[in-house]
Amino acid sequence: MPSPKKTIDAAESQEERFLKAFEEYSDALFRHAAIRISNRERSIDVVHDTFTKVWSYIRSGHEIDSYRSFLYKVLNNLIIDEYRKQKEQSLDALLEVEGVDEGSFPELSENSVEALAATLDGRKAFELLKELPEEYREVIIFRFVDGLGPKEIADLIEESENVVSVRIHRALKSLRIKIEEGNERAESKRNTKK
Amino acid sequence: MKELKVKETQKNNMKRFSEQFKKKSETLRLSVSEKRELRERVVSYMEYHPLPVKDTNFNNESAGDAVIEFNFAQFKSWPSWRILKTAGALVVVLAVGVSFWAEKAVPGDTLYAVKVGFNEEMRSTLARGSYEKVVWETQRLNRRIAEARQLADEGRLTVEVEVEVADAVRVHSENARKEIENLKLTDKDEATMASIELETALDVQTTSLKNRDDSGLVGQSTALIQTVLGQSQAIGLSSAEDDTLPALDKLVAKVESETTRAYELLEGVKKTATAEERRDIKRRLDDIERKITKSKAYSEEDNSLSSRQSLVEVLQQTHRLIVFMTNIDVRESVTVEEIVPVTLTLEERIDIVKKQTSETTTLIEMVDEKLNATSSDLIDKDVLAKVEVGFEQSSSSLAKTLDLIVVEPLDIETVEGYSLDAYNLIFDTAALLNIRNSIPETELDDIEEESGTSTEEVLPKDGEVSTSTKATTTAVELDV
Repeated sequence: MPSPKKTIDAAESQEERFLKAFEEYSDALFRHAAIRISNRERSIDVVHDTFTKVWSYIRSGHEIDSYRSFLYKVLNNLIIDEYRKQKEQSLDALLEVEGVDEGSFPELSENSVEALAATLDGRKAFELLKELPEEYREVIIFRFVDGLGPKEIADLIEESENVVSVRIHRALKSLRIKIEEGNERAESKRNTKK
Repeated sequence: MKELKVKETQKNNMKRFSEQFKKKSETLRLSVSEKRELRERVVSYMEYHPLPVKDTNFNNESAGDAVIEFNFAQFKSWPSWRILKTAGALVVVLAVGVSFWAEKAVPGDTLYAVKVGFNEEMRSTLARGSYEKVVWETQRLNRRIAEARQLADEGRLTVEVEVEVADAVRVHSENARKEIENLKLTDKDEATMASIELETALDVQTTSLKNRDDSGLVGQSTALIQTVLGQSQAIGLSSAEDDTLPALDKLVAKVESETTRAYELLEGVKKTATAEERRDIKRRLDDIERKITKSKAYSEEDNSLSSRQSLVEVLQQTHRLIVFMTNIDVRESVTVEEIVPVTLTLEERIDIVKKQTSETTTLIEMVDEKLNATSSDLIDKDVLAKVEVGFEQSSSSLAKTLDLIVVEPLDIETVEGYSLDAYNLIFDTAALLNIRNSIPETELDDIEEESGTSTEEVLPKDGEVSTSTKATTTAVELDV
């Protein structure tokens, strides 16, 4: 039987740990939300809801091992809810993702993602993020903004690691095309000016 | 080798991409205020939805400790804004606490400056109108004297502090007078009533300080403060000359509010005052009620002057009672009788006269007996002459008293005059013949006390009676 003091310590550390997690992750969560939702106020609300939901979860007697992944998981679900509410997802974007069977690219690995990313300008890619379909955007942000590994992302979005890698790969590819298109447009603009 | 190099370049490029991407994303961030607000929202959610207290493991013995530890733990987990908020609340509590504690401070205490410089100044700003200001300045004066008395009792009244207090007393009474002068310009009635407020306080405090010093029982002298009080009273007397009696309706209103206050105070002092004190105060309030009734009767007879005079007297006595009740230290050094002498009812006065006449009769009989029993040769001629005159005059006054006391309507003041005369004369006569010893002392004391009271109170302006009072005193002194 644990001593009373231990019980109190546990209660203390739960509150302490929660607030520590807030300090540690609130900025990153906000950034993630803001990139995906593109609405500052709503993003703050979503982060707020994330923390209150996690707190309720703790109150109901659950223990949280890793705050980071748990917070991201809740945040991600809330962002998806947000999309459902907004229903802004374009049909094109949906088709672009769903039209391909991601499972048919088993050769894709972290290496190929690195190879692809290496060819891109990060700043331009970031600017073009919002043009990507949500499912691509999600993984890119998790991977490059939040710095999560494919395994973590897979757990979060409840897909296989492979699917995550394929998505990242395709997302980067899509970004490269968009960057190239942008470059071409700029080139032709310059030419016409001349 | 080449392959390796390509891979390395690729890795570097990938790193660059990540960095650029991340850097760009980092432009999106919560502002300080947004973050603070968000944290407040989250923390308040936590406060409204606290973790359930897991007390199932607590045993009774450690429960107390555990609660303390738990609270401490909560503080530790508080975010800084909450600590700030709590600190803010603590500051407010502390300020109120300091201000409250300061009320008990005396000169020389750390918090005294807070009491005088903050608490009292705050209240000064709250006093609206000259009348209220006079009341407040008078109260401040009472407070200064109470402090000085406390310090003197404890032997802590240094010359410096006494000077300080005396100065404060002077300042407060001057301030009050200034306000009274202001009032005179706009409302003479209010001015008169305000000055009653100040004068009664000065009077009560002087009496109480004087008694305290005279008793010589405790502490140091407060002579300097008494001097300042005396000066202030003198100024009051000189300026009171042009005071007129306030209008009847205003007096009635004031008397009403002041007596109500006095009754409330009586309720308030029930815990601190002795049963005797309470009875004494109640008696004075009854006296006051009777005077109010009398004043009403005057007013119904269209005797406005007497009615107003009577009410002014009521107001003075009520004020005195209020000062007596509100200053516990005043109560310690004076009796209510000294502050507000009892006003006897007609029945009581008749009783006293009857008691006095019976004493006088006894004395006359004793003197007569002595004269008959002693050969006139044995008594000094001068003494014998005095004794005979005294005996005759006393007998004649006694006869007049007994005649007049049954006449309707009763002129009690005249009856009292004759009765006291008869008593004093035969008392002195008896003293000359050394008869006094045979009269039980307690009985005599009772008579002196009562007669003294009645003359002082009932006929303050009557020259004849005041001579009689003097005679009583002389008689007592002679005997001693």
